[in-house]
Amino acid sequence: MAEVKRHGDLDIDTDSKHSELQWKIQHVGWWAMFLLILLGLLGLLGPGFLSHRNVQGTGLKVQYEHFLHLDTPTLLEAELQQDAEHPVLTLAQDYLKAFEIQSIQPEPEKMTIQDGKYRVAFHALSRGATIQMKLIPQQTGRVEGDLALEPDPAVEIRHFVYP
Amino acid sequence: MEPILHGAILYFSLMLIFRVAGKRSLAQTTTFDFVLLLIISETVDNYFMKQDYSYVGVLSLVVTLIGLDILLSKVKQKSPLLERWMDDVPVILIDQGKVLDAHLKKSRIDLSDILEAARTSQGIERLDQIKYAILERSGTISVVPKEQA
Repeated sequence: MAEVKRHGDLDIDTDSKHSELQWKIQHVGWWAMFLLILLGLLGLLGPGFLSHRNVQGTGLKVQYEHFLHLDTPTLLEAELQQDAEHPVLTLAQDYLKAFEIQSIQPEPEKMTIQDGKYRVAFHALSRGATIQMKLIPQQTGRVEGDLALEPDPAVEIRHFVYP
Repeated sequence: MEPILHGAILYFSLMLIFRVAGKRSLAQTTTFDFVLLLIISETVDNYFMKQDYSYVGVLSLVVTLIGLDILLSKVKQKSPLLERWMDDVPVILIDQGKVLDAHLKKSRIDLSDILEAARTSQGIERLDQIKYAILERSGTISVVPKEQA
């Protein structure tokens, strides 16, 4: 039969040393939880204030979230800085391997793959028009890529995808 | 394989969170705690199942959760140390009629909680009628009354 401790008149398996140690660990755990909430509020664990990126390129202004969650849709927006008769957006193929493209607005005219780049051609768009891409992250960790409006230089995009 | 891995990861993550939160957090379930539990279950469900709502997916997940529970209960039987860390130990709140304030504070319990337990379980009217009050591993408070003279 297992031994039962006695405390006063009580047969009880109490252990104040264990309880004290556990309370200390619990306090550390609470702080860790508060820290997690704080990081979440700041946008370091997902979309939010510190996660939001606004990158100005030559022909494009790109807005996206740096911190993403796996399998959770995110929006990448590219605003044209000039009128374009036949705008062509190029994206690194490696970048798109990390995402599933859920939708592109406005509807592209044509999509091709050339020299390791996705080329997405649109009908004429005027200055200020926004191309929206709804992407679903498919891999965790750092994801890097670039986005360009031909023939302008590319804008670098960096994400970190949480599992 | 995914439901099994997800099941195992979440089982241990939730166990850690609830142990850190302390036994008082959800043991005395109020109406709001109940709603909170439902929300937690719904949130966890989203992660658990992803897009796999197949019979085999659900079955492997449920079996993983229950299997881990059985396995850990067996391991706990063999290791008292592990049992302490997983299930905690009882905490004495009133010892021979003396209120242990430090234990009450650290366990996030006040006298009214003890008096409530004393009234409901023993029909005790006053604090000085309590000999022992113990915060049990389950989070409930048990009360031993003083013997009548």
